[in-house]
Amino acid sequence: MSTQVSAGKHTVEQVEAVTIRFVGDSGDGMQLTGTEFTRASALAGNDLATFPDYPAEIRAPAGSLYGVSGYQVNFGAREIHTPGDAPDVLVAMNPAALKTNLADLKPGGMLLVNAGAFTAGNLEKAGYKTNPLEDAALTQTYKLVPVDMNKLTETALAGSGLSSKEVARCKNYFALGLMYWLYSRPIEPQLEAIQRKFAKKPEFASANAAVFKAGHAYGETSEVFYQRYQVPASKLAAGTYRNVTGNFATALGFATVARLTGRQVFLGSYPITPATEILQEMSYFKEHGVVTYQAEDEIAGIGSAIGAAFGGALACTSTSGPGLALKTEMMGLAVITELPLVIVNVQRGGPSTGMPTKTEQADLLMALFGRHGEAPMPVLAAQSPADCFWSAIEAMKIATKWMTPVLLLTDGYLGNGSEPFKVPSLDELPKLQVKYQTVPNYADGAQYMPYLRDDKLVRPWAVPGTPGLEHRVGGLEKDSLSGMVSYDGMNHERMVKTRAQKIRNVVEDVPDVETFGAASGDLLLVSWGGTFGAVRGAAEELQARGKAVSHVHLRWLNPLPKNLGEVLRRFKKVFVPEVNDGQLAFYLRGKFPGVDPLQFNRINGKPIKIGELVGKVLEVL
Amino acid sequence: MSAPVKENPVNKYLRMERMPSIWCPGCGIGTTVNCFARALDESKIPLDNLAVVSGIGCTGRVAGYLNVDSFHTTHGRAIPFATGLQLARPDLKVVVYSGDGDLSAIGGNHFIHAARRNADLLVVMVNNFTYGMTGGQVTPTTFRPAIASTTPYGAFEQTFNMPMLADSCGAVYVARWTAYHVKQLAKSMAEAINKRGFRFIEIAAPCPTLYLRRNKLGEGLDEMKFYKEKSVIRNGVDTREVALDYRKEITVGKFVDRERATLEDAMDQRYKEALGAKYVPYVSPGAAKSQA
Ligand SMILES: Cc1ncc(C[n+]2csc(CCOP(=O)(O)OP(=O)(O)O)c2C)c(N)n1
Ligand code: SF4
Ligand SMILES: [Mg+2]
Repeated sequence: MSTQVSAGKHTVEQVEAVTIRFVGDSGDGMQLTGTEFTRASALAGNDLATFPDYPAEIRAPAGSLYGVSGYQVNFGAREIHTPGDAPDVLVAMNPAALKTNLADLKPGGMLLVNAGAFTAGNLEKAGYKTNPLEDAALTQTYKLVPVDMNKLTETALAGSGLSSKEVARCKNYFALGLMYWLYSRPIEPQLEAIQRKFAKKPEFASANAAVFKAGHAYGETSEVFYQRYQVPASKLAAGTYRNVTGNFATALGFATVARLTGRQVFLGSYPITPATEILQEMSYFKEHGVVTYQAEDEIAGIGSAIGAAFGGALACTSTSGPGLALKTEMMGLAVITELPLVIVNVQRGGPSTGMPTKTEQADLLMALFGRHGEAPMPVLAAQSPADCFWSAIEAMKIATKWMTPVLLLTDGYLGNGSEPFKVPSLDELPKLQVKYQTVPNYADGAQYMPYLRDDKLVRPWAVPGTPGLEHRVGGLEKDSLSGMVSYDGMNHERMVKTRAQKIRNVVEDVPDVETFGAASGDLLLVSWGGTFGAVRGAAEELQARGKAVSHVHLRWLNPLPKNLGEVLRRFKKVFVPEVNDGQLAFYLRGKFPGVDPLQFNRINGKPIKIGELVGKVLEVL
Repeated sequence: MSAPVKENPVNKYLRMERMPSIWCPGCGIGTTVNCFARALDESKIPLDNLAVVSGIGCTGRVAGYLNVDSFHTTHGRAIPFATGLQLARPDLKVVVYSGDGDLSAIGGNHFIHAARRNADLLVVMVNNFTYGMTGGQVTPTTFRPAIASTTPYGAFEQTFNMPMLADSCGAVYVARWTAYHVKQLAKSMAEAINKRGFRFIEIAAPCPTLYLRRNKLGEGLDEMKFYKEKSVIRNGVDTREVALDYRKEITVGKFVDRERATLEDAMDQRYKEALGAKYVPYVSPGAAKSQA
């Protein structure tokens, strides 16, 4: 859908949604270009979703194929679920970036390349025998716009006194300026942002501003473009929005818990991609009563968090796959001592070091079952970057209400990806109350029994130093009342069953699943975690084509929503797309005998695309 | 020394209903617990403000016999747990009580980092030169060529000089005693409880069941006699000179006593300097009792 409006020399075409991918060498500043352009889209009131794709090697040689860094943003006037399948526009800063990304560009899409980087040396590093820009097929398939950004940047900075290396580093602002022009964005906010960013280095501020303006002016004057585009503001609910990555949203969620409760939030953590930002972001929140502790390893990270929880803090620990493996023994300790704790696992490609910068959903079964002994714990998964905020708060709420560790799953795609987050008002936030036991609870107030449970099987939380409530807890099995070490086999069986029942009781806080689409039909798509956007997008498209396809998204993986089994059985087929080799499908088969989901599994380090999922569903319908 | 003497003033610190303890006759661990109870009496710190954290092992069971808030963590992880507890509850005195294997092997990395950070913990290590609980395997503190269940031909690795390790990582208080030195040990523990920062006390203690028997060194009492004869008190001596060796002289005493900003103080100070009035110093949930 598009409308043409005439504006000066160029016509302006209104479009509903656009996907742009910026790609270049890791030194080309593509992440910055992408985030700056995203901010402009957010300011313009578009709904959006982003996906940064980092190179696996941080110091890959310049110009090499594995040093390519990308940033994709999908923004629109309508609701945006994913960072987009195939880009409409590809901005490629060098031959390696072109080579690794061209296949994704939509046929007929715009291909804006920095022609100045297509030197013999760079072509060779990218494995091109001839210059692809001179290949007729390229111009036939795409709207090729070669611009020598190197030279135009140099011209804009002639006489600036900057070294040629410094000049070269400004060229991403040329590309940004050009994109601002192409998408009819006001340039003032960007000029102000440049001043802020380079406040301490005014010479770079004026250089980057000059290059940005040159890029913008190039669009207007070069005669290369015959039209511009405009993406109107989307009809997002009124409110204040802020573009957030999933990791930032997680950190913000925990900091909010400190605000909501007036209690310390304690994060014990150890750096690991792609979870590190949670620790980093929370390290800033010292105005909010947050204590961050970068431990010497993941075991110490969770160990310190359990210590803090014993002390009465709202404790959490953040990590990714390999770190989760190290934490498993301590997770068992949190289960047996029944202390509140949130473990965030930002999943990445595994096993082992695997594909650290790429996303995956392959820790689901580990989250559900990967501990020694009978050690169930609630598991929930965030469904979008902004949802990480709500998930962090919800996880903490469940942990403290039910006195249990809770595992929150996100993934690299959610953690690094971003979308607009509607900043909630205080009364939109959940009520969160922290209750400590302060008086003895047994024998008419004469004794404290740390494992005397309430009707929901929750034990009291007494913090050390409370007079009359001295108690000992630990990793050995405990007497079901006094908490004293017990080797009685029947007591152990009772405790195992009680702990399991308590976690099953959490279902009262798990909302029923909502079916998107008809309540019964030919096929039900079932998703969990970060694939929400793609699967919802595919469901919309299939429904628009008249197919009897509905969608259910699982936020809670343990306990599963009460109505799930019944909903699954209302469809002829159940179809589970996942970024792993079929873990949810396996789990559902075990939980709901007779339900045998069809699967679509992508494990290539990238999120599932709407288009490919639609195709797979059509094959089996 | 499993059952403490009757009418003892330290009984109120011990959970008499849990006696007799799980420890073998002649085991040195119980002796150290009595010293610790004495130290609590002497140091006058309110028991409500004390939390004891232990790892896993025979020594790890100490927490269960003390009449205070205590937590029995997993093997090797008492220090990280205690660090988190201490950061969450600056109002508490947190004591880690564990064995040589727990603190120097599986928990060795946590030990050096806690000392480096100057975490506000008193760490008491009962060194019986073996993994008692699991049947007498070799530990990083076993002497060459002592026999252990996993070194049937004798230990051959270099032993850890734990006071030197603690000292070089920045501990503010380092002492070593043996289970024979009950008075000095109790006094040292009392002194260390009232100090802030990473404090470390190593106690050489007999494990008759595994270490002594296997090495044909007699019973617990024989070992006490050996400690008495072979120990030399050298307060303030350079920790590089206090390494122990098989059946050789045992240097005991207080080796290090200095001042340094604790982890929590350093953290607070940094935030105050960087953030000024914006920094919200954390309120301990310990305050909950007065509110509720
Ligand atoms: C992760 C883990 N590994 C191994 C063990 C088995 N384990 C329990 S106690 C112990 C050794 C304890 O030795 P030490 O710390 O010297 O204490 P002691 O029994 O000598 O007092 C071992 C290896 C365990 N509980 N957990
Ligand atoms: S095995 Fe050794 S250390 Fe353990 S209780 Fe017996 S004597 Fe003590
Ligand atoms: Mg030992």
